[in-house]
Amino acid sequence: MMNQHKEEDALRGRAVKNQKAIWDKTLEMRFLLQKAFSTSNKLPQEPIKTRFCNHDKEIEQAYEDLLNSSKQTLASMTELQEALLESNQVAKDANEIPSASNGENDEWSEVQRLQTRIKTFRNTEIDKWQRKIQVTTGAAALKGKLHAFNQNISDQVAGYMRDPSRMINRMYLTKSAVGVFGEDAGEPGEAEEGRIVEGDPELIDDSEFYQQLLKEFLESCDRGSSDSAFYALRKQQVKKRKLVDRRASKSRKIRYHVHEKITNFMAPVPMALPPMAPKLFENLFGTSN
Amino acid sequence: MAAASAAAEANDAPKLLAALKEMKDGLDLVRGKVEAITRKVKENQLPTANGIGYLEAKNHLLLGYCQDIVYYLLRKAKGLSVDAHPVVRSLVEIRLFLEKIRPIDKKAEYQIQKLTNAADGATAREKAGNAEVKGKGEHSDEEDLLKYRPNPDMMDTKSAPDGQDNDGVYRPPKFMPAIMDDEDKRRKQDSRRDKAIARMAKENPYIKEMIDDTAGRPEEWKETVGDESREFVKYMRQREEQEKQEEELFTRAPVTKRDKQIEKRIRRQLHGLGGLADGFDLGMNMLFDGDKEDDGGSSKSRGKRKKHLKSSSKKRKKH
Repeated sequence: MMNQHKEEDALRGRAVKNQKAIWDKTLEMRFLLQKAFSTSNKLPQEPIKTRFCNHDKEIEQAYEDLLNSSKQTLASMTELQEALLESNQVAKDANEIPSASNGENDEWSEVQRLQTRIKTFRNTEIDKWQRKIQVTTGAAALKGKLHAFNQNISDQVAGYMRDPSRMINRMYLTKSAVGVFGEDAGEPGEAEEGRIVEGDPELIDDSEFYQQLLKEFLESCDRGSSDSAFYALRKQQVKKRKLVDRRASKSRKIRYHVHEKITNFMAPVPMALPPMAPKLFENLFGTSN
Repeated sequence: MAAASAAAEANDAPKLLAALKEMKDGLDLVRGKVEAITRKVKENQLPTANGIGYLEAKNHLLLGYCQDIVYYLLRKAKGLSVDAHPVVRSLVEIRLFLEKIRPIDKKAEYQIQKLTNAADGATAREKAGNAEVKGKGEHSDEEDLLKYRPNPDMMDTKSAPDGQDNDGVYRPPKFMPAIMDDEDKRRKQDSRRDKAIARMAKENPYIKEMIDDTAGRPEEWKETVGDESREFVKYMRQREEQEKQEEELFTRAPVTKRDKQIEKRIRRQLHGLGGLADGFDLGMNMLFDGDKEDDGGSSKSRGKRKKHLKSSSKKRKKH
């Protein structure tokens, strides 16, 4: 029976390795796309764009090339996703066939179709694994306020998506920061004082997420393989140190401690004894000599 | 105004051109890679059917994210607005998912690693061939011990009645758990307390007087020289015990140096006023405290001497 398990595990292990390979490749794609993504924010919008195109034939040509290239890339990606779905029987079965596309923009409807296809599968898998992990770590047994059976991740995300405006607002860049071609960013002095520069809904940026992915990737790769990457990462992680003035320790510097002011304090006033005092005491206490 | 914008265009035109070219190259590179993987998947070189579904879902998520980015690029290139287009929503949604599953990732890492190691082991075994089966066998046994699932083969069978160790020693089978009971201790303590009280009643002169009074017995007079300290009384009692034993057994215990010293001291004390301050508490202390005997005025090293007296008297009793 142990042999059976061994072989089963070996098979699964191989499949897992393939999955990891695909993940790495996809991550690589993401990294390669980042440059294009950030420069895309600089591209001008419609009226300005036609102006540019009219201005220079080369620009128009370049635009055409770009359009073609991106369309083809999108097509190949969708092809890849469909191929992956084909090869994985489980994923295919778990999904529902989406309704007909809305026909507005062919590319977008393609992309959307694929995404709805994997929706069910994705939700079930992630929830299943979240439960598994909760059980193994014992978090499911805790009955504290925060822990008590955290909602499924898919429910959480669905909740967030009902009001994504907050998140989206955070992703906006400002026109002046990006420097869109052909647009006048405006002088910084022109803005009224005290007015926060608003993000431009046309400019989407997810550099935080990108940084996280990058960091994760660098941490996941072995320490031995790429020393330079490792050291680069290390340099970024700067430890926060407490600022201590070393020359002031050990009484090398005079420190002044200011005391609180004393309230209701009266300085002693010398008392003036009345002249008959000694006689009085003598009479009171008798002869003391 | 038109002149300014024309100037701006003239400035930006080469930059725009360069940017466009750059983007196109980047996209071509990406497309090349995508096609390579697609080919591999279609040739079934990367079968993932038996793998972990969770990883599959993750791959799909990231792929969807990349697609969204490319679509965004497309729209930008066309010059259309992306404001309030569902692509932004999709980006946010996928990003949320990927961020939320990060902890799951970390915790599932152990399992994933075990599977990859198993796969590596299997491929290594295949490559090595049958000649080294024995060597690998041990290695794989070690790995089996590390397996994540419970191993029913390793379970201990419950001890059968005739399944004893080969010690030759009889080990009784453990059926009932042994209960640690404090009752014996309690009983012993109670009996000890009773004995202590009885002893006090007999020996403490004041209490004896009171008890005799109430019992109607006549007063007992003992001849004493000087006030006897408690120490002395004890010593006398022990000596009497010893004498009785010696007479019964017809043997004399040897007198050690320690005993001689004690005797000398007692004799010296006898003629003094050692016992004057004893018993000031009227013996009530002993009744209430139980075992502790606290003398008001005796000398300090009583404890040590008491021990010695006790042990020596015990020694004699054994003979």
